[in-house]
Amino acid sequence: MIGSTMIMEDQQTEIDLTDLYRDIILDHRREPRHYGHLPVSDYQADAYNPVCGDRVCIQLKVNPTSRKIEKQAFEGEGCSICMASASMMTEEIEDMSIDQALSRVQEFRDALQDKVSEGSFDGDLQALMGVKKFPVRIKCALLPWTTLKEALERGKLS
Amino acid sequence: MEVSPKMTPELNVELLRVAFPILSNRSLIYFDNAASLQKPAVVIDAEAEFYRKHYSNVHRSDHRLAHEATEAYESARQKVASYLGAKDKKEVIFTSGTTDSINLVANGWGEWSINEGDEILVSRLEHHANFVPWQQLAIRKNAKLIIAELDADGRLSEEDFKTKLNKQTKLVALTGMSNVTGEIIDINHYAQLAKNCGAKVLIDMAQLIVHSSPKDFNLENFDFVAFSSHKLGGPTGLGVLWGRADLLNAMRPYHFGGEMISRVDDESSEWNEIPYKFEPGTPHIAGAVGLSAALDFLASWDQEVLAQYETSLAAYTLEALSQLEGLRILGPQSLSSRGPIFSFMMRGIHAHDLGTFLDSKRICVRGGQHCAQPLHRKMKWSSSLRASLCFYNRHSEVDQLLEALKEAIRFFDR
Repeated sequence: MIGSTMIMEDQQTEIDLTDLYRDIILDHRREPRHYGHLPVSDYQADAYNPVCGDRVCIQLKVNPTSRKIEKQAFEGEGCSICMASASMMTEEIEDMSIDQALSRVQEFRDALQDKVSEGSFDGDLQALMGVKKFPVRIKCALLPWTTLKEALERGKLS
Repeated sequence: MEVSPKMTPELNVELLRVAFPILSNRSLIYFDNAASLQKPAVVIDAEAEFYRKHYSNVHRSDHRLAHEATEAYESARQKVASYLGAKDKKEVIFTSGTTDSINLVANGWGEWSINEGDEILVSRLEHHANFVPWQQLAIRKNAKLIIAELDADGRLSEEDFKTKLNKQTKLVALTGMSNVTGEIIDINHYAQLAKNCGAKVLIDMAQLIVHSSPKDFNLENFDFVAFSSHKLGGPTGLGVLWGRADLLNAMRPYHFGGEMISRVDDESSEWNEIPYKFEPGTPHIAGAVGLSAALDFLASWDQEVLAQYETSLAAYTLEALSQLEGLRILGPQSLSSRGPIFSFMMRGIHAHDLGTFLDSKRICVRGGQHCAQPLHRKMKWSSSLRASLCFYNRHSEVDQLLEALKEAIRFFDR
């Protein structure tokens, strides 16, 4: 009963959104980094959320010997959280190896789902941790990362 | 604003709101009525009361509770039949919802009546529930799914509909009201056109039913009508398929089990009579009791007055939204033949960001493509935000929506 009363009181008040939409998120949305199409790419994955219509395409160019990501790009349409997350992610994985990027994806997912401390994310990505307070929007932040995972796993297999 | 709430002094909206407990228990503006209507206390109580005092399974045992439950369930069927103006209650089949009702027709009737080369005509406005079952049937049967397009105003084009209707058309499956654009279709007229061509007619009334009075349509024009209980204030998990008795009698069941049979041999079975042959297993008995209470509730209000109030609410909302620069309403821009459902896009702000912002202001709306991808893709609409109103919403809530939208523009443009 106490729980339900608390929910009710919580709903009576207006929610402060500045935690979710920090300036840096709106900045990435307005000027997304690595946005565009790579004419030549090694791995690519697309994702589409049929409920909200969000769409993300990730492209990677991987060095065949070092297995490091040499170039990365994304395209798509979606909400600020999804687009800013994609933009920040492409910055985060710069120069990473496929394995490093894969574990970074896992760390990001775990951090958003509160399985690990968010401490390992600083800089712009730290701002995305505000999404945790808005459970219905977590999937928006995760969509680019799960798409990247798909692209990386294809890369790993080949 | 030009449109004054005083236009409809007949409806005491505050009195109406008292009937819906959630509206006073939660300090929210509920503009998601197209997804599901809130429940009047009489519905909640009827269902609880049934479980408390009369509950048992139906049609099976001989004890008094079984009689009471069967009586309650069958009176609900009669109530639905009377509400719709059906000739006989056996034409009313309880399903799990509109989707289930339409799939029942696609599998029970379509599977045996649609052949290679036949055409099934739907409109561009259809919800996936009245689109995918026909698309899949057409694939199975090597038949064609034909789509009647919209005109330049975003309304169903009668001209295109007529062009696509022909002797090959075996079925017209049409929505009564778009859950995206709010357009109300003249179903009597379109059904007549279809009949003249020899096609059967199924109407998806999921959205229309709560925004119309049964006086607005004539079942004689249709062959099948599908709707859900929860969209008119009844419980979830329950729907209705009304069908003409001769068609239902000829139709084959596609879900098999208890109750729907008259005789089961080792090698074969015979079916029960309608409607039971389409109601296998234990039905949603308490749901039917709740639906019955919801129909009584609707009938206790003058539906002309409710409709007039909704028209004034729709006019007021249209006027309010038109004030915002950069806001684009999807579909018909004028009031004629549209109900209080508004989907819109705001320049520079994604529907989900706007939805979250409105939620932070305690306004419940829905963002996305509203289970109508064929419509969105064709019209090149991305995600939109939908404010769907109904008779218990206030004009002042529309004012609050307008203020919140203005605030959202400032917030995201900082």
